[in-house]
Amino acid sequence: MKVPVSGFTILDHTADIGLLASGPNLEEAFVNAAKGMFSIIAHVDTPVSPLQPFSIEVEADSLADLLISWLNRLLYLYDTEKVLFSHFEILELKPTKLLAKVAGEPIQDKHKINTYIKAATYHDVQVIQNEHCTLRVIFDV
Amino acid sequence: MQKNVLPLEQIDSYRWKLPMEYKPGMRVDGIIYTEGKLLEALLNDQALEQVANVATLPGIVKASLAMPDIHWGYGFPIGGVAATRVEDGVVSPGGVGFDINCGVRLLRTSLTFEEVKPKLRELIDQLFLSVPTGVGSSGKIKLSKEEMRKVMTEGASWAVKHGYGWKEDLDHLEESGFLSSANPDMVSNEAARRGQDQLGTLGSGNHFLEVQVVDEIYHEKAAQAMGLYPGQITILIHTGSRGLGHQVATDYIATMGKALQKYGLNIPDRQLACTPVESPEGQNYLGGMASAANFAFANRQCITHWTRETFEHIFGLGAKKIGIEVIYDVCHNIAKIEEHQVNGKKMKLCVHRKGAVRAFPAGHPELPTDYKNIGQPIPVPGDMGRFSYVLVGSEKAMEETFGTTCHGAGRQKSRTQAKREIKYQDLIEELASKGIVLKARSRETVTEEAPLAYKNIVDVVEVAHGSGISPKVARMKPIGIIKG
Repeated sequence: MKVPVSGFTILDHTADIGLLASGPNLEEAFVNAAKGMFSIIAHVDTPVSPLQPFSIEVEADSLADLLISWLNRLLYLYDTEKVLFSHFEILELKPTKLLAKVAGEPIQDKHKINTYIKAATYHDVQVIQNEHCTLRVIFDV
Repeated sequence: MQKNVLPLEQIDSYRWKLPMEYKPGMRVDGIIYTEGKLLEALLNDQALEQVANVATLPGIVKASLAMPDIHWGYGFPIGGVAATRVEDGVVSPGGVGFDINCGVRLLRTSLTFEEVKPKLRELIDQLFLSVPTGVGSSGKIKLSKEEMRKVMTEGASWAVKHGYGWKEDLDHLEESGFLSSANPDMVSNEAARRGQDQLGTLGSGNHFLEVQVVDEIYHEKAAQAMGLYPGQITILIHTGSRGLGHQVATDYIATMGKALQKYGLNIPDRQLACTPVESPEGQNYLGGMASAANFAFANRQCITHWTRETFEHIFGLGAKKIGIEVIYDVCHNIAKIEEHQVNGKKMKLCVHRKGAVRAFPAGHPELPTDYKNIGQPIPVPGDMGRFSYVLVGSEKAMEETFGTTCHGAGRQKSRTQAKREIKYQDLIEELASKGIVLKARSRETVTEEAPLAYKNIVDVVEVAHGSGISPKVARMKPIGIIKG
């Protein structure tokens, strides 16, 4: 499947939903994975303002695990703070640690929520680093 | 589409074997309960590869089993069953899934279709108002941290104690609606927080509450014991442990992934992360999982209560008068420590059921008195446009599948494919032409869950019935549905 150099594409999966995200570097690819995930959650045509900021710090044993932890942390914040996220800034990204600032808007009727994602799974997770970075994730919806 | 070529051996009309020689590391064969047409569809994706992967889990006994509704999941296939030895086998949170104790509860009423028909629209509108639905829905019950712990410890009985339902409901729930192995200390603060405002909510996705009419009886004696007869109104509730279960699974899959090396475990898919059942990680997971499972039992109990209140309001009679009683409540996603015979030897096993349902036979000590002679009732939802069934557990299931059968129809089309092919308005008209009223929060959810996205439940149930693992008792048609 053709993936843009920077952006995301939704993948078909019988029971669930997959995502390919990419970027010229890991940081941008991680941001695009988060954007892709929230495009599954809510309609992208309604703007989401960065009203409520949060800091995220996750640690993991590998880059692939770090990606899953990053997305699951965002899902946790979404579910408990009821905030739809739109702005993601990676402050530090090492193979085992990620620091980020994220922001979004409390969920309102205008946001048109589509899908509840239970979790990002490790099934078939991929982090490919060539001239640009590609990430692949399957979500449980 | 290119079909996968697998060395499948047909055992009989309903059973296929994927030999353990198929993939290095397989410790047992894969056994797939299916039939020609359903099998054909299975060869299009990775579901059977996942059956082979599960067969590599340390301590797995007899076979990696696939129930008739098997489809492609992540890690385990959905419809996958694996029993591992407690003494030297592993427990895998991926073998339970993110929606811990997602399950269904079937209620009967003494109302007939004729009595409900004139008030159907009003009934569905009112149910939609009474039962919180939708993505991230918050409930009407606000739990303190301390109460949340009690829900996780006590399960459905917490709800009954707080006025949500009747004491006698508990007799008709798997495990009487609570797992005594629950240990809320093994639930992270994050997980508890994620569930705290979600008790008594249906959620979204494939979860629903459906009003149905019984249209066929196949097994008179069992139907009589369950109080089922043609023309009768039943209610089916499908939901689970909501955000709490998702976070418990997320936490432990991460923990176990990190511990793989420590236990020298090698797995073909990171989502199958596991540790020995008796390791601290394994025991902690089982305590956390049971806590989430208890929350799910309480969740279905609260929804039962509001369903009764709604019927009382619409029909102007008490719920006892309307005869709204629980037939049975089963878990779809769970791991349980059970004793089973393997090669003539009694063994203590950790039975993982991922999108699969317990199907215990007549005479089993776990069953309530009124089902002792017939076996465990198994409500099996189909899709919103066709049928649901009630099956009954059997000795055959005990012998072959660790007392397990199918949990539903099983998806055959992805959500994106369903949305591409199905228009919301067409679907609503199609349902209306069958007399089905639907009220949902999200149009997208409705099209994703359209009948065409699912295998035909009639074919799936035929395999469960024909293979003898769970004979058919009754069939119901949907007449009204609420969804997220």
